[in-house]
Amino acid sequence: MSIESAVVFTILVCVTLGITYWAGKRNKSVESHLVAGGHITGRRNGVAIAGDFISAATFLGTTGAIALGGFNGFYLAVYIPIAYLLCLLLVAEPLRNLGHFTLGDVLATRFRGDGVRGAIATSSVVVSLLYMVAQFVGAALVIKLLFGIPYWWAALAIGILTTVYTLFGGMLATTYIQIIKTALLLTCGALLLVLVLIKFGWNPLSIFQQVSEASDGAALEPARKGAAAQWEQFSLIFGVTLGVLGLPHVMIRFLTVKDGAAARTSAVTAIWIFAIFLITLPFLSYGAVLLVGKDAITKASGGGNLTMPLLSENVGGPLLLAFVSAVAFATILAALSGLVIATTGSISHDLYSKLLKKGQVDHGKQLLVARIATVSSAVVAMLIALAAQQQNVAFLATLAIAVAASANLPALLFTIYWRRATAMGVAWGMVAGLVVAVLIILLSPTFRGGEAILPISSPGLISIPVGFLVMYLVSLATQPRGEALVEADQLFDRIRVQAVTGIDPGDPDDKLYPSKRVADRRTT
Amino acid sequence: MAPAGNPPTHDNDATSNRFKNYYSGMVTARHRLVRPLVIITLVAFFLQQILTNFTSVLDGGPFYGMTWAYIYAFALFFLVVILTTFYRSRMDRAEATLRPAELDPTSTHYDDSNQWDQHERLLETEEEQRDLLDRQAHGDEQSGGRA
Repeated sequence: MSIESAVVFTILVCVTLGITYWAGKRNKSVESHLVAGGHITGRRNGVAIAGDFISAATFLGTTGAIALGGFNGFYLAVYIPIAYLLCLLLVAEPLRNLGHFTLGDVLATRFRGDGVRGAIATSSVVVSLLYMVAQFVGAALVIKLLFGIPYWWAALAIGILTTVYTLFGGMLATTYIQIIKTALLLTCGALLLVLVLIKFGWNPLSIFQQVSEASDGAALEPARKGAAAQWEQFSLIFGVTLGVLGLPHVMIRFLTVKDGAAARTSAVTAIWIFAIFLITLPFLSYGAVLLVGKDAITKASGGGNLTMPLLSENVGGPLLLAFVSAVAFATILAALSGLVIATTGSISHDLYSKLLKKGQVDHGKQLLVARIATVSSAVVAMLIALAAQQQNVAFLATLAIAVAASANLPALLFTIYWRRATAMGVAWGMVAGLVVAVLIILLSPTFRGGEAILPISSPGLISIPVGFLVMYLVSLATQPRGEALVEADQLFDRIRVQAVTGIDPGDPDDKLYPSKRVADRRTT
Repeated sequence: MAPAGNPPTHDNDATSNRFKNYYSGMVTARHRLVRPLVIITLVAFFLQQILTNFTSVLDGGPFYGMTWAYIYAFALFFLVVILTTFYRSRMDRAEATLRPAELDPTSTHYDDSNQWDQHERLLETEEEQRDLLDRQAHGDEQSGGRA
């Protein structure tokens, strides 16, 4: 590690620990630990959401994918603002208006039994842990490469810092670390873009022209490598786009603001940041290809993960390299902290407090369990990451997003929007989506290599429709009758009012209910 | 934290009617916006995926080595920003027009979190005072009953 890197790294760690200390003094309740008490403003939350999703995989991985893979690498950036626009239109406001701490709360407003809450809580823990392990291993490998330290040191440093941030600072510290990380990332991107453009006479199109000439046009055109690869690409993008709407660590960020309007502001702010940052990635990546060279990028890291650090060293020297490395490190810590908090919420609130203790837990005990869950989640992910150094765990991230899209997303949409959805339908749909996603990955080339039974490794194109279809069919087959139907209708109307206005109208016999008239007609 | 907003009091039909108008107005506004915007987004995005993955119509380009595939991808970013801004402005306008102030004075009318906190504290103080008065009244009744 160079002196510049050590200095920038130390400053960054001190700043983040300072934030944790400040947040720790305010982190005295379950509300503050899991959702920052709902006091984050819309704009700040939007910046934090942007930070959450522009992870190391985006900052380092996508730039590498564009540099080495050409246009096809850009698919991994284009889907992000699209996914958040869908999130804004379909999920953000209802989620804020219905939720409390977790996705389980949203489903529990309509389906009161333990089954649905248990299913979404289990799915959320599985998704967050899988995603966390994938991020952990990737992060440790990147830190090892960036700072030239052993893998286990890197994993240990990431694990300890993440645990400290989340244990003491909770969601408040996580949010402000995300905000700082996003600010650093945008500064870094702007700085790199300016330095690259200077080298190309301030003409961004000149970069495209030179890359096109160097690659005979191949780098800028979509690569089609046969039917299986094309369907794989389509299924991957289909899955990750819809998967964003079911990722617990992304969705619970909408619970940290005070109301639906603030949730709207959050999504809009995040989308603007995504659009501004991600649209620059092809210029930076192709700039790196022209200035650093494809061979040097491949030699430094097979997947091109060090494209940005190499570019920064080329255009800005060791100080800019140190800055970019520190930003990459902050990116990793912030993303992992968000994942730890999401896992914590599902374990302590849904599984322990609501299912195991039936809500009969005092405030202090809830906070204690939340903190134990925080440490456990971070430690488990770190231990798996230490054990999995030699394993290819990239499929875990694909699996996590596929499960989020195939199980969580249909459950959320059916709960919020479909009157005839039943608890049984939602639970079975989630199970079906999860099982099909896992089965496809087990039968894919990722696991079976040349003996794969299925040609694709991304299950989204099959598992997402299966999740929706099973939820639809089982709901139709398990429709309530008589009084139960009237109650189900009234409850649906009640959550529709709450989802749209943020106000729980309370007693179902109240005059507010549109379905009261329907119920009256049915009972007479 | 409970969902934002206090449950409306339906002491009179006027409040109830205003809340019903607000709810139905917001539902209509959301339906009018969400359905077309979701369809436009999905069609624009998956059309790009299909055209680039399964056809060669976006290969090649008009100038400076720029391909139609990249032009389409960059256009998607602008489309997303335009749709986002349009949706937000329409929903904010609908909410400002329809939301009855007496239903939830703390929710949409404070952009600044400090104002929100001050209002929360005021509500808590008022609630504590009401509790105190209730307890005193209840205590007086009990002591009166015993006497």
